[in-house]
This record gives sequence, C-alpha cells and structure tokens, in this order.
Amino acid sequence: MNAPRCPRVLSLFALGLALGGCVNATIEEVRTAPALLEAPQEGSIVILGRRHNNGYETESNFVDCVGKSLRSSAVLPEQAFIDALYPWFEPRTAPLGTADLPTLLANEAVAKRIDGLGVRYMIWVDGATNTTDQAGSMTCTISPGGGGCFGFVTWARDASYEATVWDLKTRQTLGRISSDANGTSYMPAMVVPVPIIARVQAQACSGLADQLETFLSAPASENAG
Amino acid sequence: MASRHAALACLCLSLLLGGCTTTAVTVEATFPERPVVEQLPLEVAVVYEDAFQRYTLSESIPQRGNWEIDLGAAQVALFRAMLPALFSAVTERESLAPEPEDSTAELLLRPQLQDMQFSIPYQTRSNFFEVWLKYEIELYERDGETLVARYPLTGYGRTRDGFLDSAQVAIEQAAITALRDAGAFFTIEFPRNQDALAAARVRAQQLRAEKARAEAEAEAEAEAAVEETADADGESPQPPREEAP
Repeated sequence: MNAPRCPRVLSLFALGLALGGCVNATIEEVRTAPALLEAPQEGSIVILGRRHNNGYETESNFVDCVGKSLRSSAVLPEQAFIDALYPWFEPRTAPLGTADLPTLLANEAVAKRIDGLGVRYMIWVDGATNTTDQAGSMTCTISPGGGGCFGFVTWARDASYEATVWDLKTRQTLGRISSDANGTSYMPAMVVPVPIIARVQAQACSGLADQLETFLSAPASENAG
Repeated sequence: MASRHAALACLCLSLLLGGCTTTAVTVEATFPERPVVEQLPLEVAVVYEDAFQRYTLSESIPQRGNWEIDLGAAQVALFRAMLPALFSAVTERESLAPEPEDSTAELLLRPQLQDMQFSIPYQTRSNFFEVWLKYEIELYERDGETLVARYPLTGYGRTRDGFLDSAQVAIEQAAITALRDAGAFFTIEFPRNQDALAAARVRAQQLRAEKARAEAEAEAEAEAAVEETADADGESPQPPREEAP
C-alpha cells in the first residue's frame, strides 16, 4: 500500500509549486535624458544594489537576477566592480543613491579606475522585498508510525524596486524604471503541505530586466524625445 | 518496525548531541590588491605578532554548541592587501623591536584585534548572521618603544540566513564582510588624519626628548650624589688608631 503513496505525495507537492500564487506586477519607466549617446559595449554596464548596514539593503540575489536576466553581454558582474573600486562601494562607504555619485566621482582616483574598467552606464537598484501580512498556523508531528502536517498558512509579500540608469561620462541620469510586484502565497496542509508560492521577487526581477533591456537596446533615435 | 524504532532513536540521539557539537569555521579570503586610495609618502614596518596571525575565537552558544572561528590568516591577508596601497613601502616584522640601522621604515605599525563578537539568527531572532571586529592599530617610532598614536578601527559584517546555506558559510561570509569594512574604513580615514599623525609624532618626539633629558639629569644627579658621598667619606675624621704599646 505504501509504494504508490510516495509518488502521490510528491506529485501533490510539485503541483502546488507549479500552480504558484497570483502576482500583480507593475512596471513604470521615466526617461529624463533624450537618448543613450553610445550603445552599451561589452562590460560597459554595471548593476549595483543599495548597500547599507543600517536600514535595508537591496538583496544581492535580486541584483544578480537582474544582471543575468539582461540578455546583454555588456553587464559587468557587481562583485568584480566592487572589488575593483574597493574601498568605495562597501556597505559603510557606498553612496546611498545616485545623488551621492557626483561627490564620489570628484575623487580623481575613483573616476580614473572606473574609466579604466570601461564602465559607461551604472544602473542603481534600490528597493527590497518584504512580507506585508501573514496569517494561519500549521502543526507538524512525527512518530514511529509516520508523520504529517495539518493547518493553513498564508502570507503576502511585496517587492518594490527602482532602477536608476546613470551615464558616468556625462554624469547625468538617463531614466528611472520602477518595478512593483505583490502577491499572496498559501500553504494548506492535510498530511502533506502543498506550497502555492507567489514568486513576487522573481516577477519584479524579470519585469525590471525586460524593461531595462528595452531601455538600453533602443536605438538613439527611438530614445530621443 | 524495528528499523523505525532505530531511526527514531537515532533522531533523538542526534537532537541530544546537537548541543555538544563544535562548528569550526576557517575564514579564507582574498582581498582586492589595489585599493583605490591615495598612497602616502611614508615607509612603515608592520608587526604581525603570533597571537594576531593565529587568532581563533572560541565561544559556546547554549543549545547551539561550540563555535570556533579562525580569523588569523584572513586578517593578515587583509592587511597585506591593504597596506602596500596606502604606504610607499611596507616591511613585515614578527615582534615589536627597534628597527635595524639599514631599515628605511619611519614608523612601526602593530595591528591588534581587541575584540571579536558574532551572533547567529537563533540568538537575535533575526535573519542575519553578524560579526563585529574591534582593532587597535598602534603606531610606534623606529625605536619600537615610543608610542605615537593608537588608531581604533571597527568592522561589521552580516549575511542573510539562506535557506540552503550552512551556518559555517554564512559566518565566514559575515567575517569577510567585517574585515573588508574595517579595511575600507582604515584606507579612507587614515590618509585624512595625516596632520594629526604629524602632530602626534612631534609630541611623541618631544616626550621622548624630555624623558631622555630627565633620565640624563637623574643619572647626573645620581653620579653627583655618589661623588659627594665619596668626597664626604674622604674628609671625615679617621677613627684613632690604637697604638701598640
């Protein structure tokens, strides 16, 4: 009797994962400069997350996700950039936003190193994913005769990010793209917990990356105006 | 059925033994070798004492066992990467001693780890592993005795508690972040304090000169006292000799 039970349990679990929770995503783009003056070259884009010890910091896995989702080979890995610019992008010393960048670039050594790396566009990602609400409870037991869980848990998460595209050569902001996603996850359990997860962060990441791709790959004439 | 009981017994035993385990973490790190900082026209000798090179923090956390974090090699690696970018020449010493005549080092620099603390999510009810470091960089004149300045240095690092990451990896990463943080603070702030360092060196040299003068005076006074005693002994009446009958 036990033999077919295991695949059934696994299939229930997989079904829950496959179903996924509903996610609402919103992408907004604001262009503040007429055009990209130069098409991105290999390694000329760096994506940096807000790094700060106090308060929140943008999750490094989100920044990685955006970098990998951009289909452009122009992206320099965040850690390579941070190492090359050490000690100016550590959590204690990193600028808190693009407003602080001109001050940092006034340091000749920093400007020279960035120039040497060939980085032209900096994409500054600020935001975080937070759990906004949760309810329910679940109890799991284990005994010599077997084990199982019973209950129902639900939680809501909100992912809110803003990417600012900065031209390091002209030292001006080219545009801002915001990506918001929220959704509620559920986990009912009748012996087997069935997680129905709303992948809000992944949704925010893919939405932001797609929009960035469009922003960066648009020809100069299209960006104008 | 017997196998189920055995499995349950194993589970209970492992839960009981959980509090007795030792989590050993060896922090292995490489640091950026060319920090973007202004190089000072100053040659230093840096003293890595044995205790510094082999520093290991041992701590017991109730219900989470013993923790041993070996930071020695990583902190030496940090200073080895950081100091050559900051100073025009760096030589290494194993103990604090007067510099050899042929050495061009102007200052001796001795980093000391005064305190290291860490926390795990179980203790703070947060999602973070955290590490705090507190250093003191002592700066000495070439004689290895005259203390010029003490430079406090702190570092903080944290890592998020990953679903599949081990505690060792998380603590190691937090320690590396804390080391990088301390290094960043030192490389940015130290060059900004050159006026204070120059003033401290002048003050230390004055104190050293005053001390030498006071010692010379004390020595001269002692010699004078010895001479006076000898003179007084020469002038004092000799006890009458008993003449032989």
